[in-house]
Amino acid sequence: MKQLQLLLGLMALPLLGLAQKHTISGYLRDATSGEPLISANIYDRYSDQGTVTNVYGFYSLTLPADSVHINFSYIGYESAEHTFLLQQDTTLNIDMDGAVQLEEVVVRASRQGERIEERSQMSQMTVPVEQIKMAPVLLGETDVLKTLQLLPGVQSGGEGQTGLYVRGGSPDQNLVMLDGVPIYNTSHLLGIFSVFNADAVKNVTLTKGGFPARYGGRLSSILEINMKEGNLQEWHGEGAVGMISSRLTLEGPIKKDKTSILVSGRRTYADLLFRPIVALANQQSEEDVKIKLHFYDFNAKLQHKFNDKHRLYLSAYLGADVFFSDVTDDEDSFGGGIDWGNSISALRWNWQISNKLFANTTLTYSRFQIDVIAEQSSRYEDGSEESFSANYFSGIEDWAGRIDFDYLPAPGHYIRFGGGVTNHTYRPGALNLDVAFDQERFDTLIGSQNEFSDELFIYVEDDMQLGKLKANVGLHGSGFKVGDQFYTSLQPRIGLNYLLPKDVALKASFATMAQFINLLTSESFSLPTDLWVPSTERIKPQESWQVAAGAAKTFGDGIEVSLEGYYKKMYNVISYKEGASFLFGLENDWQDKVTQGEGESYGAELFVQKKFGRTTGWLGYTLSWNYRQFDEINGGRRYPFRYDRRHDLSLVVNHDFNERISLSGAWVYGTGNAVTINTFEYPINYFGSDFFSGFSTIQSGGERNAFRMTDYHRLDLSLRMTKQMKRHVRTWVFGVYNAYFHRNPYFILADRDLVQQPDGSLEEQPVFREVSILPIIPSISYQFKF
Amino acid sequence: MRHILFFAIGLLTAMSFSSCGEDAFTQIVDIELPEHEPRLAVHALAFSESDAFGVLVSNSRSVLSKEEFSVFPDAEIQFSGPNVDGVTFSYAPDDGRHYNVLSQGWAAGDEVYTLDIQQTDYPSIRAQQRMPRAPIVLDVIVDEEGALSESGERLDEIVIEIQDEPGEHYYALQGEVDYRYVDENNDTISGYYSVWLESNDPILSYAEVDRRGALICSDGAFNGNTYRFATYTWEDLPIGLMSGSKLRIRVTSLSRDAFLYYRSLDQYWEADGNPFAEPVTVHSNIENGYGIFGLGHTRVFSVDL
Repeated sequence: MKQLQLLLGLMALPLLGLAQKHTISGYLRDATSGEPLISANIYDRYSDQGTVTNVYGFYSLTLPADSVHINFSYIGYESAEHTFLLQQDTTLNIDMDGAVQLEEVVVRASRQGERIEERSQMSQMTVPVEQIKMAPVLLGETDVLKTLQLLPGVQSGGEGQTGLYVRGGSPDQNLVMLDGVPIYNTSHLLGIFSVFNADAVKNVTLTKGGFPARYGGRLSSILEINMKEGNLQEWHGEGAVGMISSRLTLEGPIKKDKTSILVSGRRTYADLLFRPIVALANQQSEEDVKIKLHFYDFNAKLQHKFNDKHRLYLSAYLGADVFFSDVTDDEDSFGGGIDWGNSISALRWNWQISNKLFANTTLTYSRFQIDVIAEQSSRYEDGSEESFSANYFSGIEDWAGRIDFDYLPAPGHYIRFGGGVTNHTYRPGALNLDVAFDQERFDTLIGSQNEFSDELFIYVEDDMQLGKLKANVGLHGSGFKVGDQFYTSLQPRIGLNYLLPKDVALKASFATMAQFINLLTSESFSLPTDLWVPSTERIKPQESWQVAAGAAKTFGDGIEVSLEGYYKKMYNVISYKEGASFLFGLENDWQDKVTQGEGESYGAELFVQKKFGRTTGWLGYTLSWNYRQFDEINGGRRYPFRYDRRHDLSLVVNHDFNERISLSGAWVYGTGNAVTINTFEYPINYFGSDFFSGFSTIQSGGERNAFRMTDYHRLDLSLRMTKQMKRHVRTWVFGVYNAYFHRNPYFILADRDLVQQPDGSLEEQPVFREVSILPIIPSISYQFKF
Repeated sequence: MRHILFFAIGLLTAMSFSSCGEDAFTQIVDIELPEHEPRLAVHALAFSESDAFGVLVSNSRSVLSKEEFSVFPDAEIQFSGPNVDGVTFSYAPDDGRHYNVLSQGWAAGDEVYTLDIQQTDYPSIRAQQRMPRAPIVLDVIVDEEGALSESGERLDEIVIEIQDEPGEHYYALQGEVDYRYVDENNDTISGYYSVWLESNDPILSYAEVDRRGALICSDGAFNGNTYRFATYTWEDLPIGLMSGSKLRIRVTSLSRDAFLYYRSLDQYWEADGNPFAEPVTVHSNIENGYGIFGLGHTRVFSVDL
């Protein structure tokens, strides 16, 4: 209660002394496209007061009635300056020009913008989409999540996987939002590619600690991915033709300066490549084989500007993976496959209520669903027929609404408050069996029934400046109703930034988080069949607290260096019990298969980034420890989490030889994953020993995750050759993944080999092998932009 | 520029092939396991109502080893604690175990028992356990067809009511029927059979305890309170059919290590052969070795059927 009183007291401070002040407000947008510029700087040189734009490009700066010299700056854009006598509330909408035409150079053209030591937020990283597009990638497929894996504190799940493990957290502890809508499955092709089409993405922000109060719902990170809003001025397009997929994005005005639309699509064509082969095989066989094998993404966004104060956005995403095969002959047919995908939609209304108050109201829908299908039918000579079909399905569906307010009462205070509610429907794994033989039919549903829950939250935070101290203080309250159970959680948040002489910033943060939904996933591997389930009366909400401290400084013109240490404690984290399996035992309640325990993660992260010049890139290093403890796992003893990675290093470099040719390289190194393999065995007194000679044995690895896979390292390279053509800019991208072909282990295979003995006989002998799945893989893609 | 590109491509090619072994493009690599140092392995579980305590003394080996397991007739075993000091073990070649004879009522609740084993080729091993206090069984109620199975069948219900004491406790529940009847030849037939208990109570899980099926649990959900275990059985209880027949419910208070062992062993067998199952580490509490030393204090509650 005292915390709340203190918070309210702090927030009331700016309400004092507002006399004889006026407010400058407006929007900062890209002059060419009309896209809002996020986190752009607005700074009065006379009073040394400033602010930044919000995610919609809105800003508000209240200053004393006097002469002002306002500087508007944004990375990659030419600054704008306005000097005038501030005598009344003033609206200044600024359209900023990009410094250079070529997109790749624009990002690094300007050295202006908020420096790392000026930000009160710590543990947050914003990666320009252009940098994401420059990074070398697997098969030439630009991948947002894979680039994020190159940042300190963020680890990949395994070779080629898009899963994010942030500061010791599990993948379900990341809230991944596309235009504010949660995406529950972020991968295609069993995790090799992410669902985000970079051409449709405007910006990517990952927060892994020091969470401001507006964030909640997950323990480890918030990943915000915003789609472009669509060009209000003129039609543009971009796309690529790659080895496994092609993509195309078009955006432009339906009515200039009023309404815009963006559509973007991506589809793989493995099935199209297979089709002639399958057709040829069908000609030589009595069987008719049909194969569906592809994934696709479709993004769309409609923007309508009613006036300067009201804007409406409607965005949608559809994406799915389809793997299905069907074999038919004269008598029998057999089909089977798996498909999964996300459907999301958001309706958003921006309302500038006053020159100090901005509201954003959002209604969202999100659905993730997976279906595993097996069908078989036979027709017999006597005319009878038999059929069997099994359909395993699970998923999660959300309807949500939220309202967020940005209130800027005075320089040095940026207050945000709001709230929201989400209705979740879970389908935690069920199997529908339909068996028919002649006139008889058996149709049944096995497995867990749908479950429902409601999640709500409110928050208030103030980003304030008190001399050389910047602070973000807030409170996030959340509630979760499932069945007759109602959980509540009050989560204080604080982030501090103190500027020392020589522009060295000391930063510290503390945040508590709560999470009410969980992903049931094997520690050994992640599949789309993983189940999303709610907290229940038996399964308590996950909770955490995290403290972080560090220092940041910008050296020279643009080499940012930050060093952070963190400690995170997690409670009620969820895991399958020992021996449990998602695949069998569907008749059992999923709650019987899981157990809850604690997690502990700590470490240090170094991030050195050069943003400007011909050579750019970053070095990220993480030293970390990551443990789990469950009463029902490993005899209750603490053990290293599978992704306990002592050392994790990423070096990303891009060099522009000139405006046409650039070379990028990324080298990653990580300590091998901790896994459990049985290395020894011993006899036990099994109950059958009265009847069998000898003894049963059990195998053991001693402790859970006691074995380390081989260390991981890999070099990826890409060469980009860009040329301005008559009507468009084209870029050839030549890449090579795993350039020196390091056999990075994906899993360990316990096998048996026949080994020749000295006497010439063959004897079976167990062997253990590391299997890698991605060797050296060259790629080529053609990109265009007009 | 062109030279740089050629150099880069050449370097890449050289790096790729220099990283390859005999089979340039294999993606499977044999790995070496850490060397395993063989240790003594023991299996020793003692229950209060048993008059013999069997101990298996064997050894561990690497999963890659071709050597046979050994049993050690020459192992020296000492079992010490209240009422058992001085008992001697004798080796039984039939099943490779060492047995001793215990007196009735040997188990002293809350007392520590120690198992020391020496064998010349291996480091000595030692384990200690505190014998749990005898469980307090308040009542056992049998209700004919009073339960519903998970799949909806009506079955005989057996409710076992216990008083849990404060602190950490672990329980195993087992049942058996002593039957007696006179047949058409006027012969008295008697015997017993095990009753496999099942339950819909999520805190109970299945295990094999002392070679019989059991339901086991910790007292985390009812610490220090009275608790009624609602169980049922698929066996036909001869309720009202045979005069003199009894249902005997064995409630055993297990030491923590014994509980963890039984639970993990059941999980281990359940997961055996399932590639999608989570790994299971069978609980071990032997210093300098492997295996289990555990204790159980049993109370038997009889109900006339």
